[in-house]
Amino acid sequence: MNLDRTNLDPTTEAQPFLQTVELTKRYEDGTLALDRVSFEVGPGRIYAMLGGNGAGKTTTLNLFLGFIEPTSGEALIDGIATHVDPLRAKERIAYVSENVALYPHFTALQNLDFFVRLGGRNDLDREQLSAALDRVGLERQAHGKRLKGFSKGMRQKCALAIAILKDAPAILLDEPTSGLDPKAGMEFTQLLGELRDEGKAILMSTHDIFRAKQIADRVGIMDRGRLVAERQQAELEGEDLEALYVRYMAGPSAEVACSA
Amino acid sequence: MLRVLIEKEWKSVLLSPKFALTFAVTTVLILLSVGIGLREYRVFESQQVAAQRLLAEEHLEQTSWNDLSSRVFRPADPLQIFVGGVHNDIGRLARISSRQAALLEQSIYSDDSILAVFRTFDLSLVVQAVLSLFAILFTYDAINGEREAGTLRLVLSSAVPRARFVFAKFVGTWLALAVPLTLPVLLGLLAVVLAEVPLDGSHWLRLGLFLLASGLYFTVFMAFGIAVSALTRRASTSFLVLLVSWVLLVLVIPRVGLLVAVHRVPVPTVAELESQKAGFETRLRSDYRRKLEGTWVARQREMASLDEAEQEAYEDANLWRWLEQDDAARQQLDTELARHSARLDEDLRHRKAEQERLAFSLSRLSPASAYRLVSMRLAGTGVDLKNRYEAAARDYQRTFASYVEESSGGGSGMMVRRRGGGHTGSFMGAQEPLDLSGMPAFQAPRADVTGIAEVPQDLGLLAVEILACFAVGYVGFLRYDVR
Repeated sequence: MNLDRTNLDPTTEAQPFLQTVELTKRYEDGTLALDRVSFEVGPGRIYAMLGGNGAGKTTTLNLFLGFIEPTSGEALIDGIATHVDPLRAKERIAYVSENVALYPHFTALQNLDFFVRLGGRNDLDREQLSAALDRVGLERQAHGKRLKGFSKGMRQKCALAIAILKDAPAILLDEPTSGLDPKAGMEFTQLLGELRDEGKAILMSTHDIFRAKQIADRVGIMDRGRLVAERQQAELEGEDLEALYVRYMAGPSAEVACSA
Repeated sequence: MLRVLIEKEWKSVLLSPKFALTFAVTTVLILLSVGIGLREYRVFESQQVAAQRLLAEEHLEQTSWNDLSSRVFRPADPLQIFVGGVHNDIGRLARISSRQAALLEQSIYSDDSILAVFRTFDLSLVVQAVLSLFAILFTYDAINGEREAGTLRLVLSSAVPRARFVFAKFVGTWLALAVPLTLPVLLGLLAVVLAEVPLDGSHWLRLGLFLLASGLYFTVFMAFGIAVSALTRRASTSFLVLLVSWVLLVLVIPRVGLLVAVHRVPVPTVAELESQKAGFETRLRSDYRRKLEGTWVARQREMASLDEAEQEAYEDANLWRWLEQDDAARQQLDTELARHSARLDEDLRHRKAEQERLAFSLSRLSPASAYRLVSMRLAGTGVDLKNRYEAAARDYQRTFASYVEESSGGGSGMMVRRRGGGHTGSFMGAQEPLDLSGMPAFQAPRADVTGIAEVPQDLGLLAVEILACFAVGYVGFLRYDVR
């Protein structure tokens, strides 16, 4: 299947910060998880990878994070191949996982302090940490509480605060809105918009077509390890993204069923 | 970054609910063990003082060199408070007479058999069994637990070198566990010092090395826990592996080592040895009697052709020579018996030593054995304690016998001497008390720093095991799939 890439404006992606070039990953058991995937995310842009389970979204993120090595091709962060120099590449990113996992016996502030210092920022005081938590909407009384009682939305906010404080030029998000209630999802989307406006290159994997359409500058639809379609925000205005997604996910018959 | 990671590790341990619980349990156990050790030490000491007083009184009433006997006591050693070893199982005194061999008798368990029900409970046992379990409890999920919780992904999404992460894991966990655990140990030491237990430089040195060995042993299990955690995907798997390993290392291997050694190098029991000696003696005496009878028959035959007067004259002329011949034969018999007995004893000692060597070499496969052995050696309460005291008691027995011989005038042991005076008679039953002011004192052998020469072997073994476990954990984590 050829990549369905319509009306892309190359000038907007002139200097990609995150980039995959013919990225391929075949696991030892023979499974082809990624098949020659190429896309780019520039500064101040949000790229949403849409796809079902096993589409290759998390594998792509794992390759950016240097957790696995590509079989061929490369994942580049600011021009640095992640499998060649993963540490230097990771200095330029922040990551928010699907099920935000922080240390449950630490308070929100202690978690923030640890991960931010781990990211190389030792210059932040308690007030600045608190301010970041304020910004992501975590109530003041929760700042000093241990995380073990936090909801997923609250943990998500902490993770985003970490990403903000790390002040990395790029942010990777794995299913960031899954499991969030509509209000939390909306607040989260709003924050992502703010970060984009600050010039961050944001790559997110998601099942959430609604949020992807709402926030992403570009959407890539992935299916069984391949990037099968790409659309820019402007193009999505006139196109039914859901129908497009379903068509690539389950074939044309599903699209008809969906329209009916 | 390393500091940040180490700080996180020790904070994680200290803030975890299981730390408060285990710290409380460990503190109670350590202080309890020192308390029990201290009490036993005091009881041992006071029993010895009372027994020595009784002996002194007995000596005051002693009137016959022939009946003179003494007892030597194995004094309490301050380090038995921390490492009981075989100290409670072997005898506390040896009876000494000018003719008898000395053997240690009356163990503390023979007096207070209730103590034997729970056997020794000391600091080394707490470290060997309890702290090693705690080390596992805090490390079994060091790596795979973070993977399962998802924090490993988040940590490694930063520019954190894996080598630094695993090193920080090791150091941070060690600091969080080892440092707080020294607190109850120091409190225990303080209790011992406040109880005015006499500790000299040698004791402190050996105590320091014992604590070093304890730290190394604890670290072995901690490094082992991290290594297994870095080789498995699930915390439940690593916990099971570690628990089974703990049972093998602490409970099974040391005993299997002993069983194999007992099977490979059989050592005769005391009863078997005595039976061998008795059998040999019976044979030899029977031969001796037969020869003696033959000799007398030959002598009678020599005189057969003589008349009665000539026979009497012949007997008078030869009797002394015959008695000397018979005495020489008897002495030869005694020498042969003694030589045989010594040979069997020597063989027994060799076999025992060989069995011990094999047993300890095999059981050293387990760090628990290496730790136990080095602790007992440092405390002087190892298996050689009995041999050391019995050898000293045997030496003393010879000195004592010489003293009795000299003091009694070298006679048949029937001489008596007045207090402060010379020999006054040679008959039994004189009622004058003996002057025992010149009686040599028993010098108890000490497990001092000379015993430490063998210690580096076990300390080195523990250190190598730490390095090996750390290397396995390190390499395992470098290859670890964090997904």
